[in-house]
Amino acid sequence: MIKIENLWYRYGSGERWALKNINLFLKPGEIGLIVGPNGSGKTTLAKAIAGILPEFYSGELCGKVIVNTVNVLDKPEEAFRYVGYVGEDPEVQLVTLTVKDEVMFGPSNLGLPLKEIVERANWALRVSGAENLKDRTIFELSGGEMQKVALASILALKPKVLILDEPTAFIEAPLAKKFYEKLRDIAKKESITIMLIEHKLNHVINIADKIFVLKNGEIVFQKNVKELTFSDIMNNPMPKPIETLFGKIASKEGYEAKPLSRVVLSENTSNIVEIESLWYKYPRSKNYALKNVNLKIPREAKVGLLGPNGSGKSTLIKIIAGIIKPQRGVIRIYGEFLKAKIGYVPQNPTLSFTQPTPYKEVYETAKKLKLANPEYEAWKSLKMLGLEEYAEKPVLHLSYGFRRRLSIASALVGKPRLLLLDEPTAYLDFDGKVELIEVLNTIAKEYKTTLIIASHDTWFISEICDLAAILHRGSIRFVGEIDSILKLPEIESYGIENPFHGGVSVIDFMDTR
Amino acid sequence: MILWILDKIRVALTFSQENTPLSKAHVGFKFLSLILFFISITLVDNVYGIALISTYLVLVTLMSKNLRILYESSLAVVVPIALLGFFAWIFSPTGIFSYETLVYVLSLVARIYLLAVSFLIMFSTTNPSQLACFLEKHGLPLVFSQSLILTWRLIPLVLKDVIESVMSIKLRKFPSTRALIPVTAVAIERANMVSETLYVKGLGFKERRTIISSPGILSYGLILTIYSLILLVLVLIL
Repeated sequence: MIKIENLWYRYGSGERWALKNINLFLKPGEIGLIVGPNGSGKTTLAKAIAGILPEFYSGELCGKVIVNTVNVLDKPEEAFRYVGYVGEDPEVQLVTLTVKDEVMFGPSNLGLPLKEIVERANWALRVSGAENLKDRTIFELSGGEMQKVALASILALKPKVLILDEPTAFIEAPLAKKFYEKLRDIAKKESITIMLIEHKLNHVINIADKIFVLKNGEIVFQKNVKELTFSDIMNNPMPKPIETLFGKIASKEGYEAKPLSRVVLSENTSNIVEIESLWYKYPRSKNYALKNVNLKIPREAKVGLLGPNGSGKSTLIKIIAGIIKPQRGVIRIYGEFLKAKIGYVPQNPTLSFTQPTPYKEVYETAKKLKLANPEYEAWKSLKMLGLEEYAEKPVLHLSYGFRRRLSIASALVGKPRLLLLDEPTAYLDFDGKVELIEVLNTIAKEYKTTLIIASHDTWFISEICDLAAILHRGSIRFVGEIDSILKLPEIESYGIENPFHGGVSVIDFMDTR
Repeated sequence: MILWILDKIRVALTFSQENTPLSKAHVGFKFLSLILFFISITLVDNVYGIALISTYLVLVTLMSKNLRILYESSLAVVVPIALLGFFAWIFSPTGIFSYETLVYVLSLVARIYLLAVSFLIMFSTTNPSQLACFLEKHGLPLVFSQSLILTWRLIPLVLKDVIESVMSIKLRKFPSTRALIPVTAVAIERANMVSETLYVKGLGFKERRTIISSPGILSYGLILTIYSLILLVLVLIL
């Protein structure tokens, strides 16, 4: 059970309240869904409940967070007995070197008998779909696999309240769907109260009991999901069903519908990237991450790399960017002075920041790239990504979603010929994704940029890309035009969601309710 | 070049979970043998002695059943050791082209190489949780044993970040040294988040934790210890 009463919080470094008068209540076994745009205070709220805020952050905090009769703000050291928290970045939530050790770590801190620890670990791995990772080391795991293990390691603690901050940001859709179904079972059977922070409504709308919408640190809307209406969704800052966007995106001024700019595969197309017989194995790993990959990327094409976790999407992007070198195979990048015209947006956006504020970051990049009017270009880029308001804010104070936007803004400012994006939608809110779709389409059209996007978000890829390649277990299984890929009957067997047929349609859910 | 060295060090420090006699050896005896080997190396002062103690590396490699680990560990240390050898040679007090200098430089390089590579192979084939549990059982405070695991976990991660950051900012024409800023920022952020994770997972709230790893197979550990002890005795006699 969670009961939050009049919770206010302001970071030591912040002027505005990050949380304002939060009041919410969830019974045992209930699932509460927390939605809201980037920077609305969702993660701060989660950290308050987990007892992390009073213990790790300075700032002004008042109100009550009662978890199982204990006010965790008064006794944060009690929180871990009742609250399990899985944060946004899975990499930092793994504190040992093997999956087995990781899942057993929490229960071992409780001093439980070894037999019980092993049972809990096996159960948690099974529930989070990470059973096949049991004998792996942490270094071998992809982002999504890490997320599953991070989740399993918290589930093994058998908490009374479980807070999940975008638990499926890196997990492929078919698995996310199964995972949420399991979560509903766990909540019911174990009487665990679950608070779920999500940017996507499909998959979670049918398992949640209550929905809370946060904006600027305030709960601006809350309702039982059973009573939720279509107009509630459309009139509040919450993720919109993708079905409602077809008209919206296509009718935007200056945005041309995708088919007009379509690149098709043909023998005569001139290529910007050619990959032949590429093999890559991570150090100390038993398996190849990429196996005999052959791919030709036509100039000015928008290419999506689709595939489940660990399929090799990010590895391939990093090889094209020159960050890692393949053990075997050839990669050719064509074009005059092309090296100066490659933009790369890493999975961890913070790794690309060299300046204290977003404006300085983009402005300095524009200056380094010797653009004619760096100040103008910097503002243009920031505006495109909706960052003007945050232009002078310290970059490390930005939420993960805004950091992602900034990383893209600084990669775009140089009008790159080839832009590589590694999971660009992770932690982006729904509006952020829609904006990014528009930005990338505009950039590709205006600057004739070739885009290569690794993502498991099929909807995002389908709204931008002309072509796509399906990667599965390190091999390319299919290359073709995006429409033909979406029509593949076996698409879901590759761990890829068909955005228009998979998951739960929010509209259908409302109709059938 | 620096990126190349960093990448090789990252690879060499990456934990290798193989089912080999070296990975399975008793962790306490494994590191005891390494200490004995270290003493032998500091004591050895002639070519025969060096030839003798190099057999320890042969034994370690054989027990790891993986020549690639030897190769990767050698790559990680080859440049720094070569530089050290070069400076030791040109600044030798006995002259650049004398026999004494040659022997001195070769023995210095060989000793450091043997020590560094043996350490790397031992570390990369040991599960730090196993070592931490062993040390905790023998009275080392929890905070030290957990720090050990985290260091192991985070060093390759930081090195990976350095490489990714350098490549990412180089594409935007920033000098590589600028990567220090994001890497430091990410490392500090990670450290904060890792401490949050340890807190959420309940580290330190109970005085007694359950020991989840066994220290390993005694016989393999004893082979290593006895062999390094024999080497030490032979070095002392020679």
